[in-house]
This record gives sequence, C-alpha cells and structure tokens, in this order.
Amino acid sequence: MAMTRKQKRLSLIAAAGGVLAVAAGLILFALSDKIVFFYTPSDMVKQGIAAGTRVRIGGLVENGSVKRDAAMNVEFRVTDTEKSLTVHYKGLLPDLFREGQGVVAEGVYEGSDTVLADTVLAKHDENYMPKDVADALKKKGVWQGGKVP
Amino acid sequence: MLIWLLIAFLLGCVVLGLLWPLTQPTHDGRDLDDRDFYRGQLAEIEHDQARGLLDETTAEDAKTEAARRLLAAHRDGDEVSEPAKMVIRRKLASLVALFGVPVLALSLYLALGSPNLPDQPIASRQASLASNTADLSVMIAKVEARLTDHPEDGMGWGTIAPVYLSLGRYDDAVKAFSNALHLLGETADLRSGLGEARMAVADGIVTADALADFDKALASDPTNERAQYYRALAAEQDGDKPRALALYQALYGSLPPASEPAQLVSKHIAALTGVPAKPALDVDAGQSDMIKAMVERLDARLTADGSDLEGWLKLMRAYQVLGDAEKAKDAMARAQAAQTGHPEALDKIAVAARELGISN
Amino acid sequence: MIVEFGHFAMILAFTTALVQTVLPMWGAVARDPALAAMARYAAFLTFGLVVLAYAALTWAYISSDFSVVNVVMNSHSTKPLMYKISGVWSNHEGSMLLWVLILVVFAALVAIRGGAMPARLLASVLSVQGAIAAAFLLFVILTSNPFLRLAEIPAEGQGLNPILEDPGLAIHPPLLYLGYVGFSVAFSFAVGALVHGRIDAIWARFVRPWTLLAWIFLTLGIAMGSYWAYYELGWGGWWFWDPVENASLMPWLMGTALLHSTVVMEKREALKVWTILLSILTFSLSLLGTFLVRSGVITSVHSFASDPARGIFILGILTLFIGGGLVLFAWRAPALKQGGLFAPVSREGALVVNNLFLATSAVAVLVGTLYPLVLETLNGNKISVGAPYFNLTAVPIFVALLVFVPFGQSLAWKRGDLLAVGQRLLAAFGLAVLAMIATFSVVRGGPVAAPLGLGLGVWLIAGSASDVLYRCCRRGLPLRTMIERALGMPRSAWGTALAHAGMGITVIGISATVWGIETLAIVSPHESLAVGPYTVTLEQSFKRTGQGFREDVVRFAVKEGDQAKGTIESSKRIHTGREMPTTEAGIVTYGLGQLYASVNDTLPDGKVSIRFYWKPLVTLIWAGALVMALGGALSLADRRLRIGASAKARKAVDLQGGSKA
Repeated sequence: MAMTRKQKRLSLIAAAGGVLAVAAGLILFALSDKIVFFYTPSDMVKQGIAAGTRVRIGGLVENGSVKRDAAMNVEFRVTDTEKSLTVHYKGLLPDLFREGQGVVAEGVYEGSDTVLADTVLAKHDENYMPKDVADALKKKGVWQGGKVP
Repeated sequence: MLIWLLIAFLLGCVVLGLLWPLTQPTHDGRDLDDRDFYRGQLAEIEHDQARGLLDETTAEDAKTEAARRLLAAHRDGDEVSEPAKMVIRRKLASLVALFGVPVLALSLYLALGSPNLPDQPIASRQASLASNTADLSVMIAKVEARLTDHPEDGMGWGTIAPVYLSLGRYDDAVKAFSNALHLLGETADLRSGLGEARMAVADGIVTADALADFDKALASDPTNERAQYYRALAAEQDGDKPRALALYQALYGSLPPASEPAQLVSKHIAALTGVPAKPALDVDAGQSDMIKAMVERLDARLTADGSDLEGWLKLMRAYQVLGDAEKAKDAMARAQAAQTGHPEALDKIAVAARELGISN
Repeated sequence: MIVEFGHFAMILAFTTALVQTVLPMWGAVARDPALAAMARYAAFLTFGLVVLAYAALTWAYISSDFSVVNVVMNSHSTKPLMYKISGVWSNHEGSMLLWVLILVVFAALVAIRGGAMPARLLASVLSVQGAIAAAFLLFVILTSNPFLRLAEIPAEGQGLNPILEDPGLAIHPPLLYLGYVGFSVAFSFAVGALVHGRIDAIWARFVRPWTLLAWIFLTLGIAMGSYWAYYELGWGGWWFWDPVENASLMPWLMGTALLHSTVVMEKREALKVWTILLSILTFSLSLLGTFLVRSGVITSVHSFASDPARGIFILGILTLFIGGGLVLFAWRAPALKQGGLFAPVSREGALVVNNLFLATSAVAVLVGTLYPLVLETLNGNKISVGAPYFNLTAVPIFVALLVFVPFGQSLAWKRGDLLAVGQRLLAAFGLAVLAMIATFSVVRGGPVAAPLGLGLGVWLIAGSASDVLYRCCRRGLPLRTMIERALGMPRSAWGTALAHAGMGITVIGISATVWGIETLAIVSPHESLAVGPYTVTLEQSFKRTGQGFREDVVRFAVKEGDQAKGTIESSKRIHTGREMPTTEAGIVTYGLGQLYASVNDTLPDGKVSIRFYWKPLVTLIWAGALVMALGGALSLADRRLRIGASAKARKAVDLQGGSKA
C-alpha cells in the first residue's frame, strides 16, 4: 500500500502539526502557571497580593534588620524606602548580601507582609545591581545608576 | 613617523592583494566539477560492497541513484557574463581597491586613532620613571604592587590610605583604611580616617556608617579632633543645632586659638549662632583661602593625573565660581587635552562649559 | 606604535570586509568570474588584518600598556601572564574582537578549502561572511573600540573582576564563540545557495563539516560554562535556566537539528528547503545569543556589559541578517528543486521527527527567554521565567525526542521496517527496564523521575550499542569478520553511536541529581557531620594569603565508614584590589560522584556555618558532553562520500520514478 507523494506529505504535516499543537499547549499552560511576578514592597502592599502566591521581590536590605539564629535561619527586611517586607530564609546567603545593598528574594508570600524565601540573590559584583531592583529604585529616585567613566 | 610608514606599507599590501585577482586571466568552468563528487560516491559504494557492508541489491540501487544525480549535474552548466561588461566591472573594482579602500580606512583612522601617541609598555615606563622618584603615582604603584603580593602588610595599608584620601580616590581609601584596621587593630586615627573616607564617598554627607566610625574613634581616643569635628558636623547636618553647637564649642576650647582647625570650627559656630566670629580671625578671608587651597590641590592632582573626568569638571566649576574666568578656560582646555580619545568625556566637558558659561 | 598599527589594521579590515561583501556578490549574481575570484583574496586579507589587530591588542595586555583604556580597565601589571592573555576577551570590547577574529578564521578556512567548490557558490558564501564581519567590525570600531588611548597614563590598571580570574572562564568564551560563530558558515552557505539557486548533495557535503565543527565547540563550550558555574558560583547547581545559558542552548538545539538534516541532504538530497531554513535559524539564534549577552537587556547572573547604544547597534545587525536571510528565503526558496522522497517510517522520517522536536524545544526555550522582555516592554510587568517553566516545556519535548532516538538510529534509509527495528531493540529495551526496576528496588521512595531518567539513559546507550552490534555481528560469523566489519564501519556511524551514548550518559548524570544530599549546618571544631555515605569532621580553620587575596579557609577531614578519604577545603576569599568576597567551593571527586563544600561564615567562637552536598554520578553530566563532542569529532574525521543506501531495493526503484516529478 504505497502512499502517494501527497499522502506522505500530508501525514508528515499532520504529525508535525500534532507535535506543535502539544508544544504550544504546554508553553501556554506553563506561561500562565509557572511564571513568577516581580514586585517591590510597595507594589505588594498596593496590589494586595493573596497569601500563598509565589513572588519575587526586590529592594534594599534594610539597615540593622538582619537577624540570624544558630539553625541558620535568617530574617531580614527588604525595603524600597517606602514600604518594607519581612523575608524568612533558611540557608546560605550570597557573598555579596549586605545591609543597605540590593537584593532579590523569591518565595511564597505568607500574608501580613512576610515572604518565605527559597532563593536569595544579591548583586553580582560591585557595579551590578539586579536589574529589576535598579529599575524599580530609579523610579523612586534613590539609586544613581552607573559610575562616572 | 614610523607609524605612517607602516600604515603606508600595510595599505600597499592590501591594495595589491585586492588588485591581484583582477589581473588574472578569467578562469571559467573549473568550477563545476560536481561530477567528481558523484564519481566519488560511486567509488565508495563499490568499496563498501567489496567489504560486504552492502548487499548486492542495495548497492545496485544506490549506484543507480548516484548515476542519476551525475547525469543531472551534467545538464546544469554555468554560463558566463558578456566580456564587454566584465571589463567595465573590473575597472570599477580596481577603482574601489585603489581609492575607496585607502580613503575610507584613512579617514576612519584619522577620526578615531591617536597616531602620535607612542606605546607605553610598563617596562619602559618604569625605567624612565624610576629616576623621577618624586612622582607620587609611581610610589603609589610601588606600594600597591607590594600590597598585592603582601596583602597582610597593615602598615602599608595604613600608609597608603591617607594618600588615597588626599588624591580623591575615596573608594580605595575606604578599602585601605578598613584593611589597615583589620590587620593593625583599632586606632582612633585609622578609624576616623575611615569615617572621613566614607563621608567623602557620600559626597560630604556624614552617613550613619561614617558616624559610627567617628564614635568608635572617640571611644578609643576621646581627644581625637577630627572625629570630634565630624561628629559635630553630623549633628549640624541632621539639623540638631544645639547639639552641634555644644560639640563645636567643646572642640573649639581644646584647639590652639588661631590655628587652621580652630578657624574652621569658629566659622561653624558663627554660622550656627548667627553671631559673626571674632574679627581677629577674619573668617571670610580664611574661608576663601581654604577654598583656594583646596582648588589648588585639585589642580595639582589633575595636572599629575588627568584621567579623572569628575575632577576636571569640579575644577572648571570651582574656577568659574571663584570668578577666575581665565583659569576656568584654561582648565577646560587642559581637561580636553587630557581626555582626548574619550568622545563621551569630551561631550560632558563641552556640556559643563556651556552650563558654566565658559567661552572658548 | 604597535597599538596604533593594530588600530589601523582593524579599521582597514573593515574596508576589506566591505570589498569582500560587495564585489564578489556582484560577481556571483552577474556571473563575472573575475569579481567572484576576489572573494578568496579579500577573505585572506581581512583575516590577516584582524589577526594583526588582535595580536596588537594582546601585546598591549602582555606589556601592560596603560595608555590603552581597555588595558587599564581590565588588566593589572602584576597579573599572571595567562590572565593577561585571557584578559583580552574577559571584557566586552576585547571579546567582540575575538568574536570577529573567529569569524574571519572561519571565512579564511572556507576560502582555503573552497578550491573544490563551485566558484559562484564560494563567492556568495564568502560575501555573506564578509558582510557579517563588516557589520561586527563597524560595531567594534564605533561603539566598542578596544584601541582608544589615554594621553595621561595611570600608573596601574584596575585589574580583572576576580570571579573571572579562573582557568575555566579563560577558555569558556573562546569555545562558545567558536560554536556560535561556526554556525555563520552554515548561514553563509544557505544564503549562497539561495543566491546561486542550486542546492544539492554537494552543498550539504560542504556545509556538514562546518556545522559539525561548530556543534562540537558549542557542546564543549556549554559543558565548560556549566561546570564553571557549578564550582565558581558556589551554589552547587550546574544549570540555572539563566538567559545567558539559554542563549547558548538555543543555537545548540537548532544546530543539532541542522546537523541531522544536513545528513539527510548529503545522503538523500531530501529536506533541501528545510535545511536552508534551519541554517538561517541556527545562526539567527547565535546572533540573538550575542545580542542578549552583549546588550544587557536581560536580568542575568552573568551579564557584565550593558550599554543601550551597543544594544541598539547589535539589534540592527540582528534585524539585518535574520530579516534579510528570511526575506531572501521566502523569495528564492520556492524556486529550489524538490528533493528525494521517502516513506514516513524510514531514517529520513526519523530525522524529520528529530528536527521537529529539536526545533520545537528551541522555540520553547526562546519563548521562555524572551517572554519576560516582551511583557516588560508591553505593560511594564516584571516576571521571572525559571526552572518550573522549562521543566514543563522544553524538557518533556526533549525527553520525548530521546525516547525515539534508538529507533531512528536503527531505521533504514528511504523505507524502514519498524517491526524489525523493534525486535532488534528488544534487548536494549529490556536492559533499560531492568535498570529502572533495579533502581526502584534499591532506592525506595524518592521521586519517580530519577529511575525513569536513568532508564532513558540506559536505553540510549544500549540502543547505540545494539545498532553497532547489528551492523557488524551476525550469528554464525567468525569473530575475525565481525571485528573487521566493526573496523570497516564508517567513522560517522561510530560517531553517531558515540554521540547518542554520550547523551545517554548525560541523562543518567542529570537524573541522579535527584538523589543528591544537601546538608546545611553550623559545625564546631572537631565536630562531625554525615553527608551521604561520608562523614566530615571540621579539622581546622585558618587564614591564608595568596597573590592578590586573603582568605579564611576551613578544612574538613573526610571518612567513609572508618576509612580516611583525605580532606576537603572551602574558603571565603577577599580580593584586596576590589573589596569583593567570593566563596571558593571545595570539590572532591569520589568515583563518579562529588563531595562539594561551600563555606558561608566563620563565626567568632570557631564555629563554621557550611553547606555540604553529596552529588552521586554528577560527573557523568559533563563526561557525557565530552563523549558527545568526541562522537562529533569522529564523524568529522569521516571524509568519505556516501549515499544512503536503502534496504529494499525494488520498492525504492518505484519511488525514484515519483521523485523526478
């Protein structure tokens, strides 16, 4: 039962279409379900994020807010100079995590201005500030980006 | 001059290299020896068959296919353009190679390059600079080189830190002071130096960090004048006038009268109380002398090392503010000379000159 | 003077690249052999000039010539020679010049080997190479010129970002660029074929080695980058779905598809138009990668250059080449002659499936990488698309592809017998199932994905092995003949088997990460800690100074049961030049697994807070990549001309009739 040229081409196209449709479905589902929005502490308060939502927050580590205990739990506050949020985290903080410096934390919003983070990123070298944070803070007129050449 | 000879030589080689193929007789059809390819394929099939990797029917089939492609390749010849047009094209191409390439390359290079600057490998510079020990930057470089190899040398850090501070390398000063403190232990001088450096980084604002340093310095030596002064300044910046005044007055009492620091402090006291300071001290004159001295220091530093664009802009502004238009203009000219090869910097200088009203 | 000579050479290279672009293309279109012949000469000249420029810059670095801004910013006279040389490409300007250097090296290689190529095809290929070189040289000259000078010379340079001072990172960018830029040759060939109006097995024969070469370098480059992130960033992860990583993965996926489709082209003259399109798309993704990394438009853990003017310039180049390539494709591709036909169940059909899945997974990665950018531009919302997205899209598509691989590899050209292939693969399948059951029973509980992944890896390796066995071993054949046959098997077939097995090895390594053990603790001196099968004891913590840094080191003794297994060290390093701490992870390899220590803090009372990982089989991830690259190299070494012989001769003859239409 030899297929004609046309049938062969059609069967190929059908197979390709099937794969692409499945892929497109996966991509659309993942984009609606698996992405994480970035907020500053003010955004969080303003938009009334529901508890249990996965979020990524960025800002500066508030001076004097970092508390550590013996079990390597860390608590600190992230501020955008208007509002601030408390972040709980267990684990090693990045090398460049400092009070007064830029930070991005990702985790679950637990309600009442508290985030349980599973990832904490600090700026990567002395000139680098997480872009999200830099953008957000620039809008508020805090951080002066870029050094003079 | 050697550089121009080299450039001319390189250009000559390139132009010749581009003209060469144009002088060659046209070679035509060699191009299309696809046939070799298919003959090669046929040979491969026979080879595989001989090794027993292909059975008879498969090999025959593959051979038919290669033969069919070989035939197709024969049919698909390539024709060549008319000779008359080819002559015109060649002439055009020669013109491009002879003139277009050198003109474009030279004009771009003249716009961007600095043909008159010689190479400055560090080896030759060290030899020529070694005799000139007065050159501060060379000494700094030597200390820095030593510190790179011996970062545990606390005295080295302690020595270089105030130098950085006076040169306006505030970030480096902060690092050097903190390294020295780390290695030598707490001293009031180092600690207040660190505070001063941090303050300088923050453009003269006594930040919380800096204040903490001054407090620590005072904890280990309550008589440290620098720390006392800045603590008072912090209170003044915070708007806590009574506290600032009290601190200044306490400091003033411990300073030898008519000394430079005493004048500085009395100026602050005067500003806070609204009462002009004792006329004997002639605060205004003292203040403007101090500003002049600062400007001169900045000028001297930039003359030694002209890479600091911000410094140049400050210097231009300072002269203009002091009412010395000639010097402001001179500073602009020197800034431009020092920043040659940095179009962005030159732009900034031009913008600043326009804002300040410095004319060319 | 040497520096200025280099600067002039770079500018002159731009003009010769322009000549290389315009005149040979004119010659190719107007069928003028003299102009077409200029292509090779111009390509050699451009190559020589860029080499001069690059050598001059390197010399400026080696001699610490601080009259060059680029050297001041990125070097220091006390740096070891190796980092002076690698310093050249550790920064934006120098790395773009390296990019161009690799590009012109490829163009010159094409020109050298081009003697046997049709002159018009060669002229148009080199013309496109020239255009890419001219565009990027102009970019370097105008926005990222490494030869700018200072009249007032600072006494010292500012040194290199300490995180970049590492042998792994020294060779990572050149490898990656060799991969990225290597795909430019395929792109140029595609455009050349479209201009030339002909595409056939000869074309594929010339393209395939270049594609393969680029693919080998890209494979090594990605593996290298992943290992660097693993040991240098101190987070213990080896892949972060970071945009910069995705930027190298996308051309790899597309390039892998291209590699397979050129095989179909070369042996069967089928999939012509598709191969052309893939060539254009693969290089487009390479350009996109360069754009993403170099323009700084993305939030990334390792993008270190950002300047809007540069971004816009590269975006312009991107639009020119991708847009131009696709427009030319739309215009000229319909005129190309159709290729040979094949049944859906055949090697060709399997390779179509391969292409489909690879291209789709590349698209999934592309969407995930660009979506945050698009969304931010459209409505200002900032989002992060991380591992959960990719694990749900690109990963399953890729895994589905891997399930098919052994089938495709064993099918015959033109018309295959799925049933026969299934029977042949029964043993391999049995082995994979056995491996799965065995792991299930040994490792009770835990995520189901791990044993399944392990089974998949075994399936790939066993599938490759069974194909090799089938080709050279039949029952009743004497051993000698079998060995002879194995040796006589084309190197490209060995290459295929090896590359697929390498993929299997990597898959096993990745699956095993699920069984990794992570321990986070604060340890007192002489206190012990269990990490997987090992016990670590804090032996001592001490300070140490090295060239340009001081560090706080902690040293642990490692034991397995009662048996001492040496020590492991991790440290916090402060680079004195820049007040920037880095964590130096301690890694010790035991068998195929690794013990990984990353210190967080040394507390005043002598306690140490530290993170330990035991990562079983983790080395397989990179070992697999090496095997893949080795397979590629073997295949590259196969210079013989082949035609894909179909297994069923009689039916094939019927089909040939149809294929002429």
